[in-house]
Amino acid sequence: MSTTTTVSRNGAVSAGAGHPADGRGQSDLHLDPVPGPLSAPASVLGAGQAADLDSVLTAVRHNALALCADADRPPARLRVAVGAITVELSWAPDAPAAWDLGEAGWLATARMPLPAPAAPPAGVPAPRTAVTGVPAGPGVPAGSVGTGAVGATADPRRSAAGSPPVPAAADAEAGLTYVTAPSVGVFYHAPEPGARPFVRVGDMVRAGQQVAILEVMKLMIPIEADTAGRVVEVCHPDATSVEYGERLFAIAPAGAATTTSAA
Amino acid sequence: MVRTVLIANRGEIALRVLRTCRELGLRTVAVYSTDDRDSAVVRQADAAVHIGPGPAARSYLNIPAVIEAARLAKADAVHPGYGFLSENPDFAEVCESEGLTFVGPPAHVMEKLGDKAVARDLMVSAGLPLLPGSRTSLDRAEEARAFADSIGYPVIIKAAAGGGGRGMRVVSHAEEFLRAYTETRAGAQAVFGDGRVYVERYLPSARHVEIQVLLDRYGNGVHMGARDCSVQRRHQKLVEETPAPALPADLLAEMGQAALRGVASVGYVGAGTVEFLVDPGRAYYFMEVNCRLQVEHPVTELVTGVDLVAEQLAIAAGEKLGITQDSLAMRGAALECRINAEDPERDFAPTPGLIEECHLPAGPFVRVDSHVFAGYRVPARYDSLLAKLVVWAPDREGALRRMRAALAEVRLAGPGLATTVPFLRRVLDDRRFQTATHDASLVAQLMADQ
Repeated sequence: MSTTTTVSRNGAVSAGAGHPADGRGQSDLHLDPVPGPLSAPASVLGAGQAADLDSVLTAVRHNALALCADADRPPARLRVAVGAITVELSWAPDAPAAWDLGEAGWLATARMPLPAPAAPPAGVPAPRTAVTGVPAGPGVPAGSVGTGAVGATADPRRSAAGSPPVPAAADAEAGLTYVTAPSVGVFYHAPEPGARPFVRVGDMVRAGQQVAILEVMKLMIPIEADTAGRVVEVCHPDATSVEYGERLFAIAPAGAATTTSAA
Repeated sequence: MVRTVLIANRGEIALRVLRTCRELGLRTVAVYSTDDRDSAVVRQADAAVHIGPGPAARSYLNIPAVIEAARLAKADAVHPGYGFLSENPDFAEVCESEGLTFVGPPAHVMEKLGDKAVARDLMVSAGLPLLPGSRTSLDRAEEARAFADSIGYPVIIKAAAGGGGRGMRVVSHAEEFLRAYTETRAGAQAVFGDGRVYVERYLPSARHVEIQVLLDRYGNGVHMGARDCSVQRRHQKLVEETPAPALPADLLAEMGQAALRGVASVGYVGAGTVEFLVDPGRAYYFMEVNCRLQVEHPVTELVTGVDLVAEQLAIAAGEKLGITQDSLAMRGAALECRINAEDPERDFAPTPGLIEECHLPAGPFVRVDSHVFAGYRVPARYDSLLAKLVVWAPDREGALRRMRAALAEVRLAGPGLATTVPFLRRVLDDRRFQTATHDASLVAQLMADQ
C-alpha cells in the first residue's frame, strides 16, 4: 500500500521499504531522531534522564506540525507516537495538490515551522532545480536562475559560513546541477559517524536518492538528489554548518552533453 | 555574559538594535531571507546568515533556522525585535534550552500574557480596571449574543490569540452580532489557529494610551511615561507621542503605577508595554500587554534619555536595573510619524517596489529610524514601514512644528511608490489633533472627509 522511508542517524536509511523514488504518489516519511553522539538532544529528549513526557510530546508534536507545514500537500494521515518517537505522514495516491491556505495563513502562525524537507515528498518526480542550460543573465550570479526570488542587483553576500549563499541549483556554464541546503543546518555525509558516506565523488545517483543528512535542531532531514547523474563535487566537509541555499553537491546530469570532468 | 547578539528580525528595527549593540561593543549577527540579501543590516552586521527564502514562515518565523544560525555564527543572545518571533513563547523557550539568552520576558510570562483572556484575568487580580466584558472566551454563539446584549452595544469581539490590531471586530447593533461573531471566530481559527473569542464593551471615542515599563529579574521596575497612540487606522498606529497630551499628570501617574503593578504581579522581566483605553470621562481600562519592544519606543527614549534596547540587553544579561522611578526625569515632548509604503488615496494599499529617490530628514532633535536607501526595493511580502520620523521639542507645539518641517524634507519616489506622508501632514494640520481633542476615530474621520 505505502512505502516507508526511515531516516535516522543510527538506523541508516531505508530498509525494506523501497526507495522514495519508487513510491510515487504515496509514501510515509518516518523520522526517527534517535539520540546519537551527534544529535545529543539533551534538553528536549534527555537521553539518560527521565525526560518529561509532556515536553517530549510537545517537541514531537511541533516536529509533526512542521513537517505538515512543509509538505506541499496535506497528508492523508499523520501519526505521532512518543515511546520510540515516531512521526509519520502519509499521502494518499492522488491527494489534492496544494494546502490552499496561503503563506499568511496558518503556516505563519504554526508555532514551530521547520524548514522544508530536502526533497518534495517522495513521488513527486519533477526536479525542483532549475533546468540546466538556462543561461544566467549578465550580472546575475549563476545559480539564481530558477529561484525567481531575487532582484537583478543581487550580489553574493559575505556570510558567516564563508561562501556565498546560492539559492538555486543550476550552473549553466558547466552543465552541472547542485543539490542545495533546504535550511540552515549541519551537513552530514554519512548516516552516522564513522559510517560510509551516502555518496562519494564519482558515484552515480538516481533522482530521489538520499545523498546526505541535514541536521536542523536535532531533526534529521534527508537530502536527496533532484536529478540523476554523477556526483562531481562534495562542496563541504562532513559535519559542517551550512546556510540556506548553499551548494552541497555538484552533479553532472546523466545524459547531459557535458562530460563529468571536474571533481 | 552576552558578547554576540543575533538579531532575529529585518527592516528598520534590525538596524536599530544593531546600532545599540555596536555602541555597547557587542558583535552582531544578522539573519536574512533571500529577499533581504541586500538589506542595510546585512551590510552592517559583523556576520550575516542566510536563513531561508522570502516567505517569513520559512525564514524569519523559522525557529530551527534561526537557532541554527545562532549556532553557526556563535551568538550567545537573540534579540527578536518586534513582530515575527518576538512574542512567541516557544521561541523564547527554545532559545533558553539551546543556551541562548532571549532578550525578552520569560517564556511562561509571554505564554500567559499572549492569551488575551488569561491576561485580562491576571490584570483584574492585580487590581487593574477592565471594560465590561466576558472574563472567559465565549464559545457558543447564543451565549455570546446574550452576553453582548447584557453589556450593551457597541461591543468589540476579539480573538483571544489576536494582537497587533488583527482579529477584532466592532459590532454596533444586536442584529449584526451573530454574523460578526461567526466571522471573527472563523478568521481567528484560520489566522491564529485558535478560534476562541471574547466580547467587551467598545468605546468609540476613547484614546489609546500605553505605558512603557522596564523590570529586571530582581524585582526592580519603573514605568516610563505614557504614549498616546490614538492616531490609528484600523488599529494600525500612524502617529504616536509622549507625554499623552491633555491628560492630567495624576491620572498618568496612576496608570503608570497600575501598569507596573500588573506586570510585576506575573513575574514580568524586560521591556514591555501595557495598553489602556481612556474614555472622555478619563476613566482608564486595561487592554493588553505587549511583551516586546514597541515600534514607537523612540518617543520614550527621546523624553527619558534612556536607550531601551540597551536596557533590554542589560536586563537579559542579568544586570540590575540602573534606573529608579525617582531618577527618571522626563523632559519635553516627542512625536513619531510612521512613513509607510502605502497609498492613502487608495485606502492605504501597500506600494512595494523600487525606491529611486530617497532623502530623509535630519537636523536638530530629529531622529530617523529607517533601513531604506535609493535603489532599495521594498519587498512585497513584509510590512510596509519605510521610516520612523521622530522629533523632540521642549513642548508639544514645538514638536508639532518641528515634525511639520521635517516631513517637508522627505523625498521618497519610485515607480508606483506612494507613502503615508501626505496623510501624516493632514493629521498634523487637523485642529482636533493640534488641540489634543482627538480620539481613536480621527483617522476614520479624516478619511471620510477626503
